[in-house]
Amino acid sequence: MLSMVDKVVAKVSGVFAALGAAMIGLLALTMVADVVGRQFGSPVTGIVELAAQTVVISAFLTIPYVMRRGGHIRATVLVNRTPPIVRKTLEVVAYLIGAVIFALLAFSAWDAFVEDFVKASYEGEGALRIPTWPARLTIFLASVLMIFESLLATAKTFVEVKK
Amino acid sequence: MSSVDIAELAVLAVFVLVLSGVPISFSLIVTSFVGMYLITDKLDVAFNLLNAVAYSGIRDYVFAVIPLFVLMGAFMTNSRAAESLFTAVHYLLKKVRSGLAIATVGANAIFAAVTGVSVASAAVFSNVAYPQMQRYGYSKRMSLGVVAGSSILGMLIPPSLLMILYGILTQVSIGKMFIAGLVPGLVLALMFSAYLYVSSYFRPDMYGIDTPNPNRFVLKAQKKAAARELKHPEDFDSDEFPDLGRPSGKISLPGMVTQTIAIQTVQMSFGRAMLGAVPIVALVALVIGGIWGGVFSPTEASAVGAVGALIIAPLMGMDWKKFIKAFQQTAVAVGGILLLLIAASFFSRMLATSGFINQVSEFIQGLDIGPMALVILFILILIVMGTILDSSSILLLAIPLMFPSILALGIDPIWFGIVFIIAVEIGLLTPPFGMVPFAMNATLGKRASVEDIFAGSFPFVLVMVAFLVLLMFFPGIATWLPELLR
Repeated sequence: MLSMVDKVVAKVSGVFAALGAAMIGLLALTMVADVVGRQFGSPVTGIVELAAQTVVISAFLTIPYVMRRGGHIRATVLVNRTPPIVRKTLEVVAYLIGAVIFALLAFSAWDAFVEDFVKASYEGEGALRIPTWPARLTIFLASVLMIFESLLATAKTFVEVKK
Repeated sequence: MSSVDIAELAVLAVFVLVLSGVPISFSLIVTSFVGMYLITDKLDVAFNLLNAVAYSGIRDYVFAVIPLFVLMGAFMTNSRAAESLFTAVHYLLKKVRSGLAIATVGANAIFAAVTGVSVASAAVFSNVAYPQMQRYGYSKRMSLGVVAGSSILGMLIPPSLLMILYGILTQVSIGKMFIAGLVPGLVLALMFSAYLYVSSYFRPDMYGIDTPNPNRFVLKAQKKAAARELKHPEDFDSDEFPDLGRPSGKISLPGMVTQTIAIQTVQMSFGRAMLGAVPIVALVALVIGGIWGGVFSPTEASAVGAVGALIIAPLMGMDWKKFIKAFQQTAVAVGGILLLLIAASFFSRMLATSGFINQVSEFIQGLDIGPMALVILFILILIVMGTILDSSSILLLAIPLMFPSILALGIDPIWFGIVFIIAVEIGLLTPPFGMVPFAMNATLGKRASVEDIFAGSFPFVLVMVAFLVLLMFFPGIATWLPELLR
């Protein structure tokens, strides 16, 4: 059961991260197109707002994958010198803190998403208006995924300790 | 409990959590949320601020510079760029005393201009340069120290992640920070090289000079064997670099690969040795020159750099598998850094609301110790922090507290940024917990103990301290170039 859920969550995190990374690659190409296009009098419209939204969306798309890969920056030098049981306990504490803060974020991001979606809020002006709800929705979905990742990491640590 | 008391407890709580191994971003968010609630006594305020920093905190055109430069660095790290540079610089220096060690410094200085993270440089050059120096009879500590010491150039020579974060937090122009790092980076590289050259006369044994080298016979035989095979040098594939996303203990360098580089270096023609370095140097010139000439903003420069790296990396051994790996590494680095940035802005807003930041700068200015003494005090604090934390976390934690006093005392913010980065990097090389030796140990595995790396980097730490003193007396080293731009 646990391993099945784990596989599904891993897959979702992987797909999210792939989308996020692809967006970064596309942003690079679009921006170069803008730099080149400017020389010929045809810049990409709204590149500034496009870049800003890409940063938010790609950041949140990759955050759960970072968790899965154990890549959230932490100081391990002291912890690595403690006995395994202390280390495992501290790990569980860290995961639970992760679950709590992303639950808080999911809660507040959902309200913001509903509000922006209903009001059809947008950023940017002139020719290119970018709706804000996709970014809000991404924050919400990524936070929910982070809750899953944190709880799974907790569960896996317990299974490890039992063995 | 006053709100300043709450903030003080929050700072303490962050340190306890971080030292307990809780991810730094998690520690900051949880204490900021609780702190904000306690200060205002309104849960709504804490929720609203959390939601605001998660969205508006990073929704900025300028911040796109982070993922784009990370992508550029990932493409270059997953190609043979570092090897090509090392080969080229070594070719130029092959007749010079301690040339191999100086070549490591030189190649690092150029590689630093395509990547913004010291720890990445340290891992890559552990695989590229360390085995070479071993083969030529350089002492173990010496070789490790050169790799560790010169890797710090990654943060000083633009593009640099630390400069980007510093610019974002202090409103100093990122482009100016980049330009400001050029001269200090080159001066420090020269000081490292000078140290290596001079000390090779005092301790020739450490540089494999005038000592019976047990490897020499083996080397001769290998040269002959490789010379026969060299008819098809392009067949030698580069070895896979270790996964930079998370340190692993695996040793990933079979001897054969680097031997062929060594021998190629000796036998290659001038043109062939330089050929590999040309595209990289051209890319560096395009990115830095573009910022320098005002052709594009740092954000646009990062996009140009990423696309340029995407074009040249496949020419230098980046296949489909490494292409995917570059994107995976980018995802890990980007998610980690941007979450840290969100967390840090949450934390500093909480501290600002509490009045703690004001209190700290009032306290610091009340010390009445003069600007230089204050900077020295800050440097000492940063070095201590550098022995425990990674450099971007230190910057995000320390700048909100230190920077107001720097401004109030009229210290040049660009100059302080450079001093700040060097101080943090000294900490990264300082025992007991400096990060660079641990990252190298993760790459090299049992071949190099953390203690050996710390011992080997110590002379480089001293050179960096000397450089800091130099910067104090001649601030122009850092401020001269950016002032020209004004």
